[in-house]
Amino acid sequence: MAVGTPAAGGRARRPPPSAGSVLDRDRRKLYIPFLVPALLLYLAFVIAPSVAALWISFHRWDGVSDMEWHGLGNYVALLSDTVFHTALVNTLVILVVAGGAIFVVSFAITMLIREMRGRKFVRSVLFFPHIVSAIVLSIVWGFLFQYNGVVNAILGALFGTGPIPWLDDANLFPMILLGTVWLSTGLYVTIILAGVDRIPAYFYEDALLAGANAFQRLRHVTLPLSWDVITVAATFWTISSLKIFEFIYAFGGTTADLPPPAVWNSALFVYGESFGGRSPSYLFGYASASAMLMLALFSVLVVVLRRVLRRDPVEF
Amino acid sequence: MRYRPRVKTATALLATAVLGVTLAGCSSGDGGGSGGGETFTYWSMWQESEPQGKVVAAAIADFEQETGVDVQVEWQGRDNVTKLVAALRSGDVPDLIDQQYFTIKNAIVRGDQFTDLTDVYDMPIPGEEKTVRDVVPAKYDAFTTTDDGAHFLVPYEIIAYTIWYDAARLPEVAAEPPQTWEEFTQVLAASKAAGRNPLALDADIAGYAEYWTSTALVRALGPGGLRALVAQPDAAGWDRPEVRDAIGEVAQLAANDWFIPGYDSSKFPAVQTRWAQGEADFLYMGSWAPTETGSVAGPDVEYRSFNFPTFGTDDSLPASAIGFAIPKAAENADVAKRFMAYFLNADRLSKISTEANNLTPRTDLPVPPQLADANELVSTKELNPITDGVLGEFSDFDKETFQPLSAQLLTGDITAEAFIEQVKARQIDYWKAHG
Repeated sequence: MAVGTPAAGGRARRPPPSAGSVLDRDRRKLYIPFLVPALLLYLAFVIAPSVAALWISFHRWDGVSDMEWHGLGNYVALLSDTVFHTALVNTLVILVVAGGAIFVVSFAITMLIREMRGRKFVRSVLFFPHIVSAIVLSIVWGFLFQYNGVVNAILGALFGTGPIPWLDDANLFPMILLGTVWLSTGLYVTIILAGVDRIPAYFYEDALLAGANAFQRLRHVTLPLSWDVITVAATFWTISSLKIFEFIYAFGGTTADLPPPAVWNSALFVYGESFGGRSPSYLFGYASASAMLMLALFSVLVVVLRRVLRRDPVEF
Repeated sequence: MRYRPRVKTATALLATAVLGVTLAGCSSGDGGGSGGGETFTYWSMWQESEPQGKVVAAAIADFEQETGVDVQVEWQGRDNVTKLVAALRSGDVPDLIDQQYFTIKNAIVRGDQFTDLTDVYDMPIPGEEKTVRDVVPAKYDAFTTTDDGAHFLVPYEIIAYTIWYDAARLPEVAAEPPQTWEEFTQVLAASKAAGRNPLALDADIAGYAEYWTSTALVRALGPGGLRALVAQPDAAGWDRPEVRDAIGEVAQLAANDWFIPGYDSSKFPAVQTRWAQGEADFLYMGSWAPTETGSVAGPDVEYRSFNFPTFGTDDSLPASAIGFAIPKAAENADVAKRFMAYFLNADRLSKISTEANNLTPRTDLPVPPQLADANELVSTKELNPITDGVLGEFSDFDKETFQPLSAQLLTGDITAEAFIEQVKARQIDYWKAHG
């Protein structure tokens, strides 16, 4: 008796052989042919270029001549490059300041339109800036806010104020932040609203009966019950804020010229060091090094953010 | 039972493969050859609808008809050289490109990727008893040759940078254009005193602000002086008194409020439009200014222009050139070279002037009246590359340091002292990083 038990127990761990399990196993294998093409494309167009960029970042390279090994030289040079510092700070300001504003405004709007009639229409209207090309919007913004633009004309007519230099050196970056918030808010309202819509109404009714004000309802009902959506939205913003390019490029620059380096973010820095401007720099090693530094920084940021925002999911 | 899933796996693989091949098939549309005759490929800097594009297109059509050569044109626009740089690694390059000289120099001369065009200069121009060298004389060498004297460019359009004004509004200036900086500033002061706006500048284009600072420095140091200054790793030259004086004079333009209000917070081309409509007196701009502002200008505008005023002896004309070049890897260089000579024929080239309203390197061709002053200067003055060539040779420094600081100087954000202090510090950093 005692001798047979271990063998029986060992066999019991295996799934019982049956026709269905073979089919399941084979069916599971079926994912391979579907996965392989996508994986190959991903390898060819995302992973390989990223590895190539890492390799290029250790060289001096004008894109034409042979690469010249430069070790960590590009990275060392970046550390003392004031234009790169500005681009780095601007990128982080966009991430934190514009990001903070986007989430505050998005929550405010979400709370406002949660119970509104015609909510779907309002949501579509809010989403609209995100659909329209950032290039088009930046051109329109340029016309609106320039010295002889519509905004100054309206302000002048209403309040008799002199023209405000919205687009001069001092104001250009704040205007870019404002534009970024305006462009992105609709998307985040939509995402957050999708999370908030799942929360059963009786939680809000209960909170109302308990005398909770709007802020308390946000803090004790909305935030905890839509936390997973907020986490995803925050991660999404972190990644997409790094990639903001066209609005700054078109709003700050002109057809052939880059915006002033004072408003560059990391994406514009990479472009400015490689292909950008009337007379491109073609410093591909240097540009790649800056892109690699930003990738590393933002990878760390995303991991930290996910850790900070991690909560046990609330079942409801 | 084991058989069916394998069939499914195979079918799925096959289906994906077929899909892949089909998609790949969709993208290869331009495989057609020319059928054995002579051919060359041209990546144009123009769109076909632009005036210069139309002139080049007409010449190509004539060339094809007369010679039987098949010209494959791609109207790429201003990105053509950027695309060329990307294509150079693959070797699949066009036979002919065109662009401003510094864009081409920056892209293909530095990496020794150009075809020497010296033999083109010896070619006779079809239909004339002249060679290319006769109509593109040595005075254009600053734009067309490498440091070793090899020709990488055959120019067909010249850009002169002059100070533009409306002679109908300012007849006294037209009668006696200011020649020295002192005379010029007196005119500006008088304009301000008369309640007008003396100067226009779209300061959101830092490259336009740079025209002022770079030309002032060339006036102070002579042609090549600014380039030598920027080439110094220790940036010591910026402390020279004549450099400080020149920057100081430019700073005074902003300090005196001589620029039209709002020039620092407008979107190009708002300010030059206001200039063309008579709201400001002078605009320092390339010879495209009349064409670019023509459609918004008042009906009676009479475009005239004069050379940037002198500080001392230098009265060279800041200029640039647009021309043809051939990448080293081009397979049909010979026939592309023949087209270059063909295009410089007086009848064909004059359309760059008469139809596209721009200057050509041939000063013997008719020019539109608005470019008469500029053409006169091209004929009589020494030509010096705009920004003294810094834009092309030190493009990274120019774009990230000299241009933004020039814009800040001209909008009055920084003083002349701050400009020099910052330009020195950043030039030292630049050479440490990229020397």
